[in-house]
Amino acid sequence: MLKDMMPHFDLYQPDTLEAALDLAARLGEDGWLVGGGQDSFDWLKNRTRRTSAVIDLSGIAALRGVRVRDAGIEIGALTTLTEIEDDAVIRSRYSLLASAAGRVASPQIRNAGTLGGNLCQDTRCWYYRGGVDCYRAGGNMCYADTPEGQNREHAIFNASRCVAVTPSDTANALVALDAQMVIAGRSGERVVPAAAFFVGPDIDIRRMTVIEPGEILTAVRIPATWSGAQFHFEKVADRTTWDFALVSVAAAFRMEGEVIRDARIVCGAVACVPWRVTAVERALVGATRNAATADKVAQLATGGARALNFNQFKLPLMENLIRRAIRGA
Amino acid sequence: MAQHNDRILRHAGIDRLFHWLMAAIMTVLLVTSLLPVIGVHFAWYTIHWVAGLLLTAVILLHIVRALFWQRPATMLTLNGDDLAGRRAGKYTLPQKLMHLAWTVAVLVAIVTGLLLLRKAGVPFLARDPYARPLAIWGFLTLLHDLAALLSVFLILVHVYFGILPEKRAYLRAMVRGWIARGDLKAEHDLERVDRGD
Ligand SMILES: Cc1cc2nc3c(=O)[nH]c(=O)nc-3n(C[C@H](O)[C@H](O)[C@H](O)COP(=O)(O)OP(=O)(O)OC[C@H]3O[C@@H](n4cnc5c(N)ncnc54)[C@H](O)[C@@H]3O)c2cc1C
Ligand code: HEM
Ligand code: SF4
Repeated sequence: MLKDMMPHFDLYQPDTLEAALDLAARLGEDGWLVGGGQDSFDWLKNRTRRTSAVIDLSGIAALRGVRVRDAGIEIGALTTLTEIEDDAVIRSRYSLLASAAGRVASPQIRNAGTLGGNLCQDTRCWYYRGGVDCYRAGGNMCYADTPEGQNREHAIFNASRCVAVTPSDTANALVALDAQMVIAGRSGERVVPAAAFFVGPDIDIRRMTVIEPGEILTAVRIPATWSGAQFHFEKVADRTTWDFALVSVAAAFRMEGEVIRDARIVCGAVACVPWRVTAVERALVGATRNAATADKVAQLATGGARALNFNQFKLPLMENLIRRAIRGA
Repeated sequence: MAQHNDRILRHAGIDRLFHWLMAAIMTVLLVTSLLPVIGVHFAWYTIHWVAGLLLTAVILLHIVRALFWQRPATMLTLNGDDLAGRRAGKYTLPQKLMHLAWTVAVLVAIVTGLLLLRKAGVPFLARDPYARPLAIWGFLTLLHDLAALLSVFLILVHVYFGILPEKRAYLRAMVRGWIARGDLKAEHDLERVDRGD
């Protein structure tokens, strides 16, 4: 078997959403959607996943770009991460998302990778990516949570048989901004809050989002609620570029003078879904955004966490990132 | 309608409690494990293993009670009378066979379920999927799932016969405790019943 060479598949390149939905409905599980291909091509070239058909969405102009809508914005799912990082409206009103998009992978990957693909990408658990027959792949075993399993990158919250984490940086920012995901299917459109879009292994061990075969994520809407709020995004990885988070934090603060009126604290790479730290969020309401508050509430973040053999470091790392987010680094 | 003094106690309160507790827990176990298989996704796993541990406890209590406070032979032995088709003691042949099938399904589910906890992971036990070879885990999973399938089949049969009009007296006995002698006459030998056979 030749690795690193693209295997054979039928390539469909629809230029309208309707045509793409028809194809997706017709091909069902056999129609692999591709935005920028930065996650998909890994699977296919490594032969760890196979498909007989690929539906390339990148030619659908209507799914690209940032539009102002109902005092908020709507971002087409095929908009690239570079376009999001550089967009003037996003930078001025929702800089949290621009910062998160700017910390994804490398410039080359951000040029090709789309927002939809970044949100729908599969987990990076290396046992799973290596093609072992684990729970997530349909088997009946987890290789990461074993006495010898290499689980430094894995979950400290909400693990249920599978301990994989979400790899997406933009997902955490979008949950913090109370975004809504617009999902189209042949029978119509449904709009799902970002927090309900991601699926943990307790609910479904085989998938990462609520998207069903035949459906396409068409856009992400961000309401005006957090427009112009104070933001903080920080990500710790082994390398500062071209690497997935070990822990990241996306934080938003709506202020009234010095006092926090409302807050969102969402951590990445600590659970299979973007992890809202509601205990800290609640404790922040009515508090002053300073170092004293940060020291007082940060330790609430890890209540209920369960470390694996090699990822105990994530607990203090998470607390410290939240501390830095609250005091403004 | 039978006279009040014709009633005999068929199931003591504690046994009726065990029966309905087991029924409720079995329902929870089946619903939590099988709904996700047919596409209804929810956080099933924790509810499932907690219910599994509860079932284990209730079954253990049932076994202890049956061994020391009741006559296990009443339910467990298939004697000559049963096989010759003569009238039954406390339980008819189909009732004994149904109990036997439930015993197999539930004991297999419990033993395999408890062993699988070590692989699937629970908060109170160090998770160690390497404790057994992969093939053994596969085999345990297969047995567990077969026990689940058998349970679905048994529930259908058990509930069907339970609600048949001519079997209603047995259902009432499992709710209220008593059964009328008149209701037993057709299939049971009252002398054997009185002997506790
Ligand atoms: C070396 C490396 C480092 C990386 N580092 C990071 C990182 O630090 N942070 C980070 O967030 N990501 C990182 N990534 C992941 C990368 O950013 C994502 O793979 C990329 O953004 C995915 O976008 P895409 O459009 O190329 O996805 P694709 O590969 O095209 O799609 C990904 C998945 O989403 C599905 N999909 C795509 N579009 C849609 C849609 N519109 N509707 C429904 N389903 C859809 C596809 O079917 C596929 O399953 C890294 C990747 C590499 C290779
Ligand atoms: C008769 C009662 C039971 C039935 C019908 C039943 C059914 C099932 C089924 C169908 C599954 C597979 C679900 C899936 O993978 O999607 C399962 C998994 C499981 N059950 Fe049960 N079960 C029963 C009792 C128990 C008991 C008593 C326990 C122990 C406490 C238990 C523990 C487990 C565990 C740990 C798993 C996960 C196994 C794994 O992931 O490898 N079950 N059960
Ligand atoms: S953590 Fe999840 S994806 Fe990784 S080996 Fe375990 S079951 Fe598979």
